[in-house]
Amino acid sequence: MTLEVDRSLLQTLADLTRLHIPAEQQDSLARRLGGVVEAFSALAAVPTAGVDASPYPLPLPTVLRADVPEAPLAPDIVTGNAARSAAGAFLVPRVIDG
Amino acid sequence: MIPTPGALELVRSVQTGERSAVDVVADALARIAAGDGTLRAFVEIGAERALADAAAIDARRAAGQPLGPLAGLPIALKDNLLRQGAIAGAGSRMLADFVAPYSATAVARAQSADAVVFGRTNMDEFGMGSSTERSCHGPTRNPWDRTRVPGGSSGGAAAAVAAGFAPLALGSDTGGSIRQPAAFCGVTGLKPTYGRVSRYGLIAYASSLDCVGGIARSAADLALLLDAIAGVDAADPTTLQATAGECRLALGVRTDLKGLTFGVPWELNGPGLDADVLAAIRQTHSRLADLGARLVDVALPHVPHAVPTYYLIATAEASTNLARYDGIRFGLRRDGSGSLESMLTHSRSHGFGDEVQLRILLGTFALRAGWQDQFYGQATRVRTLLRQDFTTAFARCDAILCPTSPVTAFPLGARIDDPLAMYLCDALTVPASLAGLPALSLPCGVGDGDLPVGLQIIGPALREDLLLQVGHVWQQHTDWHRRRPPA
Amino acid sequence: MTFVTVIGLEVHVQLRTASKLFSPAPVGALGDPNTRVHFVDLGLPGVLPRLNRQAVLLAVRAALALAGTVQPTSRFARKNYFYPDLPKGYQISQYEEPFCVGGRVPLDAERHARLHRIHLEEDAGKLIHTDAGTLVDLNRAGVPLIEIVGEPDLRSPADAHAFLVHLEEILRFAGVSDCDMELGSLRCDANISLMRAGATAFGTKVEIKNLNSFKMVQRALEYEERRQAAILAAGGTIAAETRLWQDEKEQTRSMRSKESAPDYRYFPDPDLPPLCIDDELLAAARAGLGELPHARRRRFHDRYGLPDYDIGQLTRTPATGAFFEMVVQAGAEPKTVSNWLMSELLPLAQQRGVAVDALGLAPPRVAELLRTIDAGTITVLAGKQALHHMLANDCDAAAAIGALGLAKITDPTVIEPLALAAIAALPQAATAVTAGNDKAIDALKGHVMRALRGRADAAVVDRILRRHLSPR
Repeated sequence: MTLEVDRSLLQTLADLTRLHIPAEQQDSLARRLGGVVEAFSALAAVPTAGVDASPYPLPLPTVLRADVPEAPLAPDIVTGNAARSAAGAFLVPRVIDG
Repeated sequence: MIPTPGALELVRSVQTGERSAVDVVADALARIAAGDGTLRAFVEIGAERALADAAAIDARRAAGQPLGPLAGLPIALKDNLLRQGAIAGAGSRMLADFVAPYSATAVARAQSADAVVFGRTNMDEFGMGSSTERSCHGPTRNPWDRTRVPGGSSGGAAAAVAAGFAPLALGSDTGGSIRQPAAFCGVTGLKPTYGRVSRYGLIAYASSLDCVGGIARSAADLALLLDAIAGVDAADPTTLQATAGECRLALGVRTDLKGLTFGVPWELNGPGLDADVLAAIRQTHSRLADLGARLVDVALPHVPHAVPTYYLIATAEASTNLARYDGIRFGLRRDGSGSLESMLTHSRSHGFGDEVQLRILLGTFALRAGWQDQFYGQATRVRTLLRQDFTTAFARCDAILCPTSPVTAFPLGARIDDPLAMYLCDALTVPASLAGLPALSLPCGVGDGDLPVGLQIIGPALREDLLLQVGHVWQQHTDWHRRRPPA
Repeated sequence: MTFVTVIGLEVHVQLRTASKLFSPAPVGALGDPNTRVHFVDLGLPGVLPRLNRQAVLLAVRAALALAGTVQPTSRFARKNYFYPDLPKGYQISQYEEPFCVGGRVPLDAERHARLHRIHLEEDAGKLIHTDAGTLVDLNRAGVPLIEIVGEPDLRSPADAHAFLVHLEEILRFAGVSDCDMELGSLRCDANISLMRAGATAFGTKVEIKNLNSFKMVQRALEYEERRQAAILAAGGTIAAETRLWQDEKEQTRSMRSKESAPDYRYFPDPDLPPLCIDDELLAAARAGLGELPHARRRRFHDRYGLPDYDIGQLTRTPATGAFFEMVVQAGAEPKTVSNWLMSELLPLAQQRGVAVDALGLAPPRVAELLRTIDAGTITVLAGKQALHHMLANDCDAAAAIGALGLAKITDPTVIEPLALAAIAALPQAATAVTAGNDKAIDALKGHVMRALRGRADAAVVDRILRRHLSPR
């Protein structure tokens, strides 16, 4: 299956990942992305029926941590890199729920 | 052959008190001050803290305490590794003011071995690039030819070692980010087995591919570094449980390459190579044979699919690894029109550069419902096939040989507008990354314009010791790693 | 037109661990914003998740208690979406490969509802809305949860209520969770659809959120059942949507349509190795799993022949049932033990805010006391005094009875003068008894008992009083 990367698809992707693509860049970015996607689409032709997917490069054993709590971070460390904070919490524009 | 003072010699001189750590570090800082104005290997040097750290080591020696195996050694740090109290910026506007509240495991281990980990070396933003042109601080230049790129993404680290600013540099390699710049700059670079060195404190690009490794002037120096930083880490559940022997002690085992069989896969030694690289590699092959190695043909039939496989997996992982940069807890924040959505979108759009945004979009595409199986899913299946290729090949050989890069250092700007052309630069390094295998890049010749060519040796999992032995033998019989760029 | 109601529940349960699912930050009383966080919970650059063994163990124990099939290998996945309470921009959950498949929850003695799956995931943080903006508190971020996904087996809101009551009981018994809806350690979303009687295909389902108690779940489902029935009866169609329960208005309102549901781009989290649950972990999970409440109820009925009411009280917590059995084993009559637990020990324990086995009363001592009462050596009233003395002085029943002089008084030469004194003190009562009003004798008995601080043998007092008051 081939897929053309047009402005509408680009917008969908940008919305999903919270990026703003200025109108004047949309066509060129769609072209760049489309070129890569088209070239990479050839991968679909590699026969992989019955092949396991591998999310890791090597087999990895399960690692479990003992349930021992550590001291929590000091408040100044928690918010030390935050642009806005108040009363130890991170401050964001008011969220409208629902 | 004239011995070059490398990391090991510096450590001995500090341990014996022949030189102070402050003296060694001040020497490095002086060379950086004199030479980095045009190269721009560092985005920040941090001289004061480096000298203070060195002084603390000297004080401990003066107090009669024994010093660690990296005593007084200045190690230049890539900008994507966290060092407590220092900025870790990953070459991005997003993290330009981010002060690390903790240290990466590799950094902490090097420090506890008495290294002076310092500075921030330039890199492509979040490791996404092969030329160090994609840094918010501007490009680093190649010490051999300042009109050319140093490779990337650890371009600053490779340039720093090549220019003699530091004997060792800590870097990261996701699809070739240590090996390719090491090759372009004529230095030695090691990407360890996936999980051999903890990723804790490495600013993630692609979780299943990221490896912390090093760049040095010799394989012997890399052995010293790896021994200090490798091993299981409770903070990284993907570190390998297996214990591997000390690499430095293994170096003396061989004086030649007799009894070793190297596989030479056609797929990595012919297609797409520039003629000068091919010529240098052919000479290298015959030289290796002279040293006693047997060279055999092996097949890696899925290697031609490695670049799309790599980029689909890497960008898919990156698209979610970089979702944490939302302007709330750390990182750049732009409020936009004042709504939450506007703040999120403006922060991300201003914080990330073009290439990072392109890769986030590509990765989001690869994971999208309805298309995920065809793109990300297919890539993870091809990855399995590629791993099997290597397993089959290692039944016939001890290690695999190929050039590190199909080209030598290219001019600044030459590939920046063509993402595919840039991605193809990684064709020879991404296979080992996908399979999680250790790979070493060694200077092995020169191409047109006297530019360095790198030989890549890929080993079975956890066989860094073998790679470093081979590298050490090679460097005892050749002078490529002793060449210095023009001042 | 008649409709069949189809309900499925999704329940999030907080696991009782000391630290978070993937970080060593402490879990507990939440306190000030961001005072229970570690670098991992901030989603800081460079951090990696570290899976908590105890969370896995408790999750597996829940799966065993609910008769699910524990999968030898499962996987964590990233669920990607942006929200200020989600620090990494993704939630670590399980998607295609959960650790438990299937399972069931009893609805009553005969019926049960099936479970689709159970998976492990991390909780999000909390948002606090103020005039100046929204505050983000990550104390809760990363707290370990299991999500229990029920099959659409429930056919009425009452069934849904029964499902939750039994689920809560089992999870508490298994020590998996506190299951406190007020504190958020148990949360429930409900799916409901209606189909025409006799139809085979389910109707369009609506998801209901904001359900803060079991009763609220039932009320919201009852409302939604009526709302959907009215729409369908009028020939309308149900929109696939998420609706919010507004308890004060006793109704649901539309929150978002399912068509605008986001694309979460689930994929395996490469930072976490597969979760392999080996025999050792399974055995450890099983070892901590006591008898489940429905099994215990059946056994208490069969073995002790107790009334249903007693059984219900004794099996409310694992500790109560265990304490009951220990006292019985130490030689007391089951029904006597049950009575004393319900009337004395459980209220005492509740008063002191502890479990009954933490009162400081050893089961053999309780059994000894109850035997003494059953044998008629002391009165029930004296027994209660002895009990408090035992508690206060950490002594056995004999010592308490001795110290308080509680042994029953049966000697007529002691009782007789006091009986006569009572008759003299209460002439009206005495006359009434003589006249045939038998009830009036209680006042006279009480007078004698008070004089002997409750120690007199009631039968002897009765006999002597009647002898003096026999109708002439």
